[in-house]
Amino acid sequence: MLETADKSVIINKKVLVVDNNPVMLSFMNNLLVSRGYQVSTAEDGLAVLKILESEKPDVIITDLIMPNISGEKLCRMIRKMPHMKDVFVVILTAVAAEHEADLAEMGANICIAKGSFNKMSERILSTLERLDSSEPDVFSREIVGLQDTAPRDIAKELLSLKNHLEVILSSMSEGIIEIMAQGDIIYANPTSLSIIDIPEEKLLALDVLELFDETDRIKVDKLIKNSERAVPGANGSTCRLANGKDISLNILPVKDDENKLIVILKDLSDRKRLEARLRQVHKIEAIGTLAGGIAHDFNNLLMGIQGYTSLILFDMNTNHPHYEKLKRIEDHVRSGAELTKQLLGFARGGRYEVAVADLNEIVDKTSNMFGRTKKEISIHRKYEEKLWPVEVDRGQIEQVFLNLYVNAWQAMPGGGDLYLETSNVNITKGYVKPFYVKPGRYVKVSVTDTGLGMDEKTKERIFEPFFTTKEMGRGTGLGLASVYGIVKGHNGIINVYSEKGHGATFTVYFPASEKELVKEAEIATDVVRGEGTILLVDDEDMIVEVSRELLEVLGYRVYVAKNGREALELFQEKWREIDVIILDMIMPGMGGGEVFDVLKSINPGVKVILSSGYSINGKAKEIMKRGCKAFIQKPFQMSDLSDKIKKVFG
Amino acid sequence: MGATDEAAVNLRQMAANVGLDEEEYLTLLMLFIETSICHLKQLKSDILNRDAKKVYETIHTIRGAAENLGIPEISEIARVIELKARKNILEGAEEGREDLIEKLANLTELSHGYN
Repeated sequence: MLETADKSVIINKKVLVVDNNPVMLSFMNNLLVSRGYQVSTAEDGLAVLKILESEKPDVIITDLIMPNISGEKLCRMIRKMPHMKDVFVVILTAVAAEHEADLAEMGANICIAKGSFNKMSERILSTLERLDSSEPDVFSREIVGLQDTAPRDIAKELLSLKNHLEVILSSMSEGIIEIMAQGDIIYANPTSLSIIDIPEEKLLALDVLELFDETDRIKVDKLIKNSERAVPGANGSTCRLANGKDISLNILPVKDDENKLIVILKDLSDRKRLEARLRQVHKIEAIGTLAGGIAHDFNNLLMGIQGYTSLILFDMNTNHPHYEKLKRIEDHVRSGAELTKQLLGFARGGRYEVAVADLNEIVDKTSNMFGRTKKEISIHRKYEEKLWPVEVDRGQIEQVFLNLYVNAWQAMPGGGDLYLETSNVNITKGYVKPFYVKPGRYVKVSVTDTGLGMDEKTKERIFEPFFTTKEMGRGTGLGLASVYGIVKGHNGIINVYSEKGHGATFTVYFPASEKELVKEAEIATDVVRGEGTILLVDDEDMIVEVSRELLEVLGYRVYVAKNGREALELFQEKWREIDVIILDMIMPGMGGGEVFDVLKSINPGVKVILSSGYSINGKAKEIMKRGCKAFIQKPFQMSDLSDKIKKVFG
Repeated sequence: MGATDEAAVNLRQMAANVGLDEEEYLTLLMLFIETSICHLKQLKSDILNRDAKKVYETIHTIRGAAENLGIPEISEIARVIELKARKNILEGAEEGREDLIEKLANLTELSHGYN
């Protein structure tokens, strides 16, 4: 039987008892009131939080395992409340021995094991008496009365179940919040805390509607009221949180007696970023298509100028008064062709002479070439020793790196350091998602400068054609656009990382090849006359005229067809006579690819040189794979033409 | 000794076992009976719904209170149901529940006998 103590000694102590078992609450209330304590009781953590808004107890005695908010969580929250810093917290539990949580870490002062009422009350009273006569610090975070605790197997299993669920909830990528029917938050997993940006101690007991932007509160309230009809797994409603984040929201009923609800939050910020990135990609692609079309027409004009200039120069004495002027025209045409090459590169066209290559070698060669002209830049190279081979158009890739170096140099007007690094990487499905390429083995090359860096706005537009940060006349705005187009054309990825004032890193990834590296053959550049019959197929009069003259000067007999159908009729009739066909890839009606297939069916050994200013979606590459012998890029010089024909003749 | 006397003796002993006076013990016992009846009703629907987790939680509460009050004949039955429910086994739970109702009825009789 409990003895009554002198009430006057401890009359001023306020004790708050928390337990979901009414028998226990009643017992504790009787026990403590009989000893002169001022007692409040609460059935769960949520009720405690409400009480603590207006009361400040000296001692809180709490159960550990309770519905809604557990005793452990409650302790942590109490300790984070500035006005509760000095409250003495007693954990009263039947699972004292099994609970591995650190009392100090939890914020509790002492743990008392539950058992039969007599033993338990002795321990509680003696603890309170000790507290009254000494400083709280004397309590050494002990567990009192372990020997009398109930059989432990059940308690241990209960804890293991609880911990298991806690691990699952903690590892979920969605934010999970549990609320009472009236909207009070009683649980929040770590993901939800990071989405909402409110610490747990402030979040619990808060009305869920307060988490949302004012404009969305009515909508959320309706979702709560209609949660009975919610379908698990259905698409969530998009709402804005008070912190400005957009989220997808699902509210599902728990279907228990208290009509609790589960609120599932998905952060849409990443999705929005991904969508913005895709929009940017589509915009660049659209500009690319437009730029490619202009470049194609422009290229044909250049081809005409180049061809006639070559023809005039072919038999002109170098002392002729116009010789130098014509050479100048050739130089200007070459500059013009460089410009269209950049544009075509951006439009993912251009050459498709794809071969297995070593990017270490290309980076080395291009950076040496660049370094010789830009002495103020110190180049640092770090190469992966066994770099995987790649299948690329060497010319285009050289263009990619040279453009990146030039861009770096322009970002470092007073000189600086250029870091080049190559490595083998495995890229995951998640990473490649916005780039429309396959996951797997890639070769990574990064180009880092120590220059001015870029702000977010510049970074967003950096790959757009004609976008330049340089003053009018200094930059075409095509360099990085063509880099982008070429990398995309190789099914690669390009990324840029930069901060204003802290330099920039451009990283390109090219898919690794399973093929082995073969050494590149030397290319002859001399004009070689030949003999034989060539069928020239092109729909552009200017190209036909100049090419016919070039071929005739080189010694060939020329048949001309202005479209695919004409070409096939001619070939059908004269196929024994025709040695080589120069076939334009893009023509109205039957395109080069279609014509090639029929030519092959007439004569499987037909020798075709595919000719184009650019190709769309790797069309040239496909035709080359079907057995086309060579590819010639317009505008071509006489030496290019002579070389290709010589090669095809074998 | 009559039934009422016997009840009084038993109750006095039970109260003494947990260090309470008879009246206080009786109050708590009545509260226990009252809440346990609610819990046992809840348990019935949990069992019918085959919701082992809920069975486990509900019976856990009954067991805890029975241990506090020193009523082993109830805490032991509850403990068996609890252990099985933890392993997702509900066979025998309904029979256990009926046993508990019977034990609670005995307790109710005991408390009335004392009054």
